[in-house]
Amino acid sequence: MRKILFAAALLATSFTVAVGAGYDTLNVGIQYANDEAWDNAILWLGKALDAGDLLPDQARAAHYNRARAYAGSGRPGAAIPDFNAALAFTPDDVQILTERAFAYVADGHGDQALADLQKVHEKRPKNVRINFLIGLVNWTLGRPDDSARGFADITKDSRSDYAWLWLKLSDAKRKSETGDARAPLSTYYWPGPLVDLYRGKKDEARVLEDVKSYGDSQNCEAIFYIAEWRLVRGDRAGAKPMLQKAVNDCPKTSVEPLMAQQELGKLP
Amino acid sequence: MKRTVSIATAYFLAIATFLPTPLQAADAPSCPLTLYTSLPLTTNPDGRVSVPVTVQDKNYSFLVDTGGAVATIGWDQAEELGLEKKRAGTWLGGVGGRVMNTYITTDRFSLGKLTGSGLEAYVQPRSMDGFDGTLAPDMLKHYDVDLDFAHGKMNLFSQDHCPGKVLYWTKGDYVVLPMQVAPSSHIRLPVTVDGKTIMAIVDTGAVSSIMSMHAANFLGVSEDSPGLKLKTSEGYDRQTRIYSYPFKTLQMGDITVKNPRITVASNEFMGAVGNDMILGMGILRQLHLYIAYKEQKFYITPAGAN
Repeated sequence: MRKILFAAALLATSFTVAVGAGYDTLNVGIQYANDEAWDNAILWLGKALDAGDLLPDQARAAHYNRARAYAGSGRPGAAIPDFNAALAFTPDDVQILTERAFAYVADGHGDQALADLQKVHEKRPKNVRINFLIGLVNWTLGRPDDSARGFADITKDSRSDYAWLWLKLSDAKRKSETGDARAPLSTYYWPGPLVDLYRGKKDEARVLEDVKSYGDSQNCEAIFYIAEWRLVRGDRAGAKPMLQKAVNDCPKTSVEPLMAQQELGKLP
Repeated sequence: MKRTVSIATAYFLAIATFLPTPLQAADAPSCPLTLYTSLPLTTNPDGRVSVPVTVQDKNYSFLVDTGGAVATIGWDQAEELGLEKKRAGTWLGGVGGRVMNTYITTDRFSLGKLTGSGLEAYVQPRSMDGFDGTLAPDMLKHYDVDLDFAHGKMNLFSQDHCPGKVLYWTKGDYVVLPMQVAPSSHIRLPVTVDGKTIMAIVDTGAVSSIMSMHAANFLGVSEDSPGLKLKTSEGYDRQTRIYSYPFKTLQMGDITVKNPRITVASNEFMGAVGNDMILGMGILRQLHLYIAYKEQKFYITPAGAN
C-alpha cells in the first residue's frame, strides 16, 4: 500500500488542495457564510463564481450563499439577483423562494414577497412556518385582517405560541378580537413570559427579568415583542429604541430584526 | 443525541433490473468494483449534501447523514404522502433537540437504480431547511459509499470486492484508515489533534466539526486557556456553551489539515451527542471519501484527486 504525503490546508490563507479553483474557493466561501462573516463570504463566493469551473449545482450553491451573505449584511437589494440566479437552476426550491421573500420584504417589495410565499404555500400547504411568514408579510403590508385570519388558522391546526402572539398583535391593531383562536396551554416554556405579557398577567419589567434565565436569542425576542406590544397600544416613542435595539442586536438571519426594521421605517 | 431505535432494522435496497457497472480499481485491473448506482449531489448552502430519492413515486431530496441512525422524513413530506404515522416504541433524538417518536412505512422507495419497500422512516417534527429527509447508516452500511464532493457524486458500490482494491478514481496518493463501525452504525476513526489522538465520528449530517470539553481537556485545553473564546451560551441558565479554539493541526493518517475549524462544546452538549468529537462537513468537503463499511476501512484523497 502506498503511503501518502500531502497537506490539506483548510480555511487558511494557503489553500492547497488540488482541485478546481472554483471548488476550493466555494468551500472557503461556505465556511465564511456559516460563520456569518458576510463580507468575506461575498468575496470568496465571487471568486468561486469567477473561476468558471463550478458544476451547475455548485454554482447554484455559490449564488445562494452570496445572496444570503448580502441579505445577512443588510443589503437585500443586492441579494435578489443572486437569489434569482440560484432559482434559475432550481425554480421551485422552497428554501430559496422563502429566503428571497425575506429579501423582498427587507427591500420594500412586500407584494413580491407574498407572491414567492404563495408559490411555496401551494407546494407545502400545511407548512406552519410558511403560513406564519405569509401572516407576517400581510402585517408589514398593513393588512391586519389578513394577518389575523392567517395566524388564527395556524393556532387552530397546531400549537404555535408565536402565531398566537402575532394574532394578539393583529387583533389589537384592527381593534377586533378573534374568538376561536386556541390559546397556549402553558407559559412554562419560552415564549411563555411574552404570552403572559400579552394576556396582561405580567408587566414588561417582569418579562425582562424572566428572560435573563434564557439565552441571547430570547432576550432579543423579548425586546422585539415588547416593542410591538407598545406600538399597537400607541406608544411609538417607547417602542422606537427597543425596535432599534432589536435591529442592532438580534441575529440577522432571524425574523425579528427584519420586522423591527420594517416597523422603524413606518415611524416618524 | 442520536440513538439507535428499535423500529428500523437494517434496510437493504434491492438492485433494480439493470446490469451493475463494473469499474476497475485504478491499481488493480483484475479486481473490478461493482457500481450499483450513482447519484448527483445537491449542495445545501451550509455545505452539506443531499441526493435525489423517490418515495411512493414522489421525488424528494434526502440529506446524506452518516451521523444519523435511521432514515427520517420531514413532517410536510409525510403529510404529503398521506401515510399513516405510527407511534414508535422509542424515540429518536438529534442534535438540536428535536425528538422524533412517530414513523411511517413506505411501500416504494428508490435511490437511483436501487429500489425497496417497507422502509421505515422517522418523521421529523418540523420542516428541515433545504432537504426533505435523511439517509442514514441503517441503509448506507450495506454498501461501499463513495462521496466525491468535488465532482458532485455519491456512488454506491457492492461490498463484494478484493480487499483494499477500491481506489478507482486515482493513481495518486491516498490514506486508508481503520474504522470502527459502532453498534449504532456510526463510523469512528482515530484522528490526531495537536499531537494527541482521539476517536471521532464521521458525520456528513453535521455542518462543522465539534469536540467535547472533556476531549479538549485531554488535549491540554481548559476553560482557562487563553485561546479559548466563548461564542455562545444557550439553554436553561446558559449551561450549553460553545467555544472556538485555535487548534493547529488535525491529522488523519498522513493527511494534515492545518488550522482546522473545530468548535469546543461544554460536556452537557456533547454528553447528549455521546461522542468526544464529530468530524463535520467543513472538513469532509475537502476530501474524497470512500467508506467501506464491511471492510471497515476508510479511504481518503484530496477532493479533486484523479
